[in-house]
Amino acid sequence: MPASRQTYKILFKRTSRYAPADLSKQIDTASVHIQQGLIDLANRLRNKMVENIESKRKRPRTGTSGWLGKHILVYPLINSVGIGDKNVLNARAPYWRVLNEGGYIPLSTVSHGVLGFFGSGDKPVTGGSGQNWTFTTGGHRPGIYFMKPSKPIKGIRYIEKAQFWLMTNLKPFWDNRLNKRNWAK
Amino acid sequence: MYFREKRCVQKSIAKHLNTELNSAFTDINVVLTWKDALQASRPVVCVNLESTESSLREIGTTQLNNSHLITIDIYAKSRGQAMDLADFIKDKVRDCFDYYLFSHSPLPGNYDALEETKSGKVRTVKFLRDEPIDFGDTSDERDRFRHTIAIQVKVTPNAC
Repeated sequence: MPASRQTYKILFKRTSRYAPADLSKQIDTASVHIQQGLIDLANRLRNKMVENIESKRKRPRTGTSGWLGKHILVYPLINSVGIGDKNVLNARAPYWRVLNEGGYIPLSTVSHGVLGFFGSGDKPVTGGSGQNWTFTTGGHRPGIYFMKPSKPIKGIRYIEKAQFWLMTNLKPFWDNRLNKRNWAK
Repeated sequence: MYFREKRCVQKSIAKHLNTELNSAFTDINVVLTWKDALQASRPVVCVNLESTESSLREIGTTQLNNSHLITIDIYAKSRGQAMDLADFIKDKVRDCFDYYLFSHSPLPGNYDALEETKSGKVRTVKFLRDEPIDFGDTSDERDRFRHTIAIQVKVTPNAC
């Protein structure tokens, strides 16, 4: 996902209280705390992102698949943390981009549309709304209908909103977290 | 009655961009809503206020320090035009520009007309995003040459 990379400079001040060996230990401890902090922050950011998506939901969520929020995961890396993997999202929730930016969803350009059913096997109702859609494979048969969405959807900007939240909450988060730690212990 | 800050920020940015864009290019439509962006003829620039974060300005006051997330969507006729417009817009929002308080006209029968009063500056504090939107070859023609810019802005009472 597009996101700006942030670099942090952490200053360790050596005072007469600490011998060099203690300082080394202190840096190791601090590194672990910072990595934990990064993961905590990434989890909060991910939750914020999912919150934004869910607040704009039009149709009820059913089942465990086909839910974008489920596929936005936190990936702890060496010295950094990633949120959402483009390859995973493209494979499991390919609409993630159009939901963020807004526009015509790719299904509207497929010749007949896609196969599936509304609710628990209902026929699509013109002007109907609020029912969930279940995709199916295996061809057209009784109880399975073609759907071709024709209206563009409005982008909900969940990525930018999460990034914006990060920008405004980053300093308070670290201030709060670092001030509560006693690095010497 | 004056419009409140969110609305005034959005309209101030749109007003600023409309003036600047139409002095350098021709027939650029600057709009405020996504629905208008779909209906207007391209090139279209759509200014939207997506979100606001607030904190107390300082200890002991109840004044808020508001920060707004603004997205500027460009619907161009070609990839080159989208890139030119994006660079132009970034160049025009990086400096402070006028913030207006908008209100409905008090004149009877003229309620739709807006009055504007300068009331400080809009300052861009961070550029969050500047990239083309690529939905691939299957995308609708309107979505083919899109570009988006996201910025974080604040209103300052005085000159920057």
